[in-house]
Amino acid sequence: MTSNSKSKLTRRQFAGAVAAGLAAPGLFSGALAQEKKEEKPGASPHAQQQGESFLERGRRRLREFPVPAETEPAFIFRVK
Amino acid sequence: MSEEILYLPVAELSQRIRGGALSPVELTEGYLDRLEKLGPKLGAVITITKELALEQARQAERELNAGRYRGPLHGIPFGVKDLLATRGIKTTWGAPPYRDQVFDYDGTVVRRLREAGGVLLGKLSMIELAGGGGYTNGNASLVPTVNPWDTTRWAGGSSSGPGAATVAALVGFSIGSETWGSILTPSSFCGVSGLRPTYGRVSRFGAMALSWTMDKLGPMCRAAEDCGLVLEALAGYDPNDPGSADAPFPYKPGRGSLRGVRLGWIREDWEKNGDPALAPLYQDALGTLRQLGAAVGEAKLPEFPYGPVAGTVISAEGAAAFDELIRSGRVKELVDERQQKGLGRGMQLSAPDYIRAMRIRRLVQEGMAKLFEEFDAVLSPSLLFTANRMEQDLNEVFRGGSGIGAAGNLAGLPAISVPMGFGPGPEPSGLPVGLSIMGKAFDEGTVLRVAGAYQRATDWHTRRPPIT
Repeated sequence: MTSNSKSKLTRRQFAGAVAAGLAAPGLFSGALAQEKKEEKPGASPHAQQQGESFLERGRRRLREFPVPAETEPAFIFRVK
Repeated sequence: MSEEILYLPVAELSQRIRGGALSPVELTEGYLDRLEKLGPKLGAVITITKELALEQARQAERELNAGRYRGPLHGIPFGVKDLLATRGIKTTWGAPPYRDQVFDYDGTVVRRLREAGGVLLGKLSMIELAGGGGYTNGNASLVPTVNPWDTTRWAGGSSSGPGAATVAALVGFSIGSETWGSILTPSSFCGVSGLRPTYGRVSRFGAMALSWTMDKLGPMCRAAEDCGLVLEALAGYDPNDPGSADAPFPYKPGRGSLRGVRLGWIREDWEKNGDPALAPLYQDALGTLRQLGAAVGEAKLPEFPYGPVAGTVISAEGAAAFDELIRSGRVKELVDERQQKGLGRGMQLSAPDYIRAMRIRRLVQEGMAKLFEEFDAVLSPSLLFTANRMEQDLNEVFRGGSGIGAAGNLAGLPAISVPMGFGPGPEPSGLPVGLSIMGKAFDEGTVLRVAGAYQRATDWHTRRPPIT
């Protein structure tokens, strides 16, 4: 159970966050840090050992994901 | 007005009104009575617009009597989630800091429904700020909404009022919004048919912004066919919403079988993430769709970090949307502490974090488009469990899953949730759970065709909650 005074979430709470699916489920904090594969026990010992914050974990997950150099953001600026 | 009539789907109410067998004024009075009596009990409504509703109903009746027929929503009473601006009427966004907020214009959806002859009954409850910063439980609202099937349980969120009010026949239909699950979740918990349209299909002008690139508005009804009728009235380009698409939606209800339709089903881990007692309902639904002639095969979602991408996008945009609330310190007035802190945390995201998420989102979009080369629609349980207890921490309830909800919302794809059965719960009914049918972009037609065929073969959507 997350206390609002905590600055970090547990692995279980991350899982809840991702799945909540309530417009911005609980949880962005968790969603930032989690993905399906990380639910496997021990899948991310590094994160736990280092005590990363949820934000850092979320950033790491995104940065570890390979993005081809030519990939444009999902929104692009268009001249009118 | 008998309860039997109030529970009718829009399509049937509409036929009776057009044929002169049903008076819009009497229908409106019937819904108002029920909304006044049961709305507060369920926490489903924030503001009842009685005078406006009666005035609009009388106008509809005059027009119909004069032979001026506006279409299938003419004279039909509805409610909207209280994040849609309504001229001169409070729009609270479900949150204490905005409890007295009044706009001097109507949102485009409200205007289009008025022009279609609809009758606005009231502003319906919602999780504060559509849950923008996250929240602890169903009480995170100015007016928390309980579930009509069991009032110790939550109606779902963040479109809580629309879900409860629609299934309990307090309104003819309602309008909800979804950024990430806010239409499909209450639809599943309450047992209504809720449609999340393609991003851009419906103008968001006048709607509270949480995430400019992910917010969608859509109908919540007692039948899938009704969602088609409402979407037809809502869809189309709006110069006031730069994200809106020039894509009208002329609705044609399907009548035939699903022969030739390719449906992909998503595998979920019920044991780990949900209630295994519900798994047979999903299998039964797939079986029904096979019997209707569809080719049903397993679909594999492409591998992406859906949660972190959706979380980053919504968190960054949400912090920007509520920048002033956060910086002024008024964020502390929100009901839910997790929401207060969550909104603030979005401020810590960097521009490169956000852009990286949006680049991965592009890949998600392409991956989902590829999936839809194999399938015409993709099926999944809307949720892996039924409504949770009102005070239960949502982190205990939402334990994980395939990521289909985040994937669909990131790619802006349309999806409907329709009831696919009832799980354990209070006798004799139990609690509903939804089947989600997702389509490719701007293909709400196929989504509604599959949902309509399913509802013609089943009667889950006709069940009524034991609320009196």
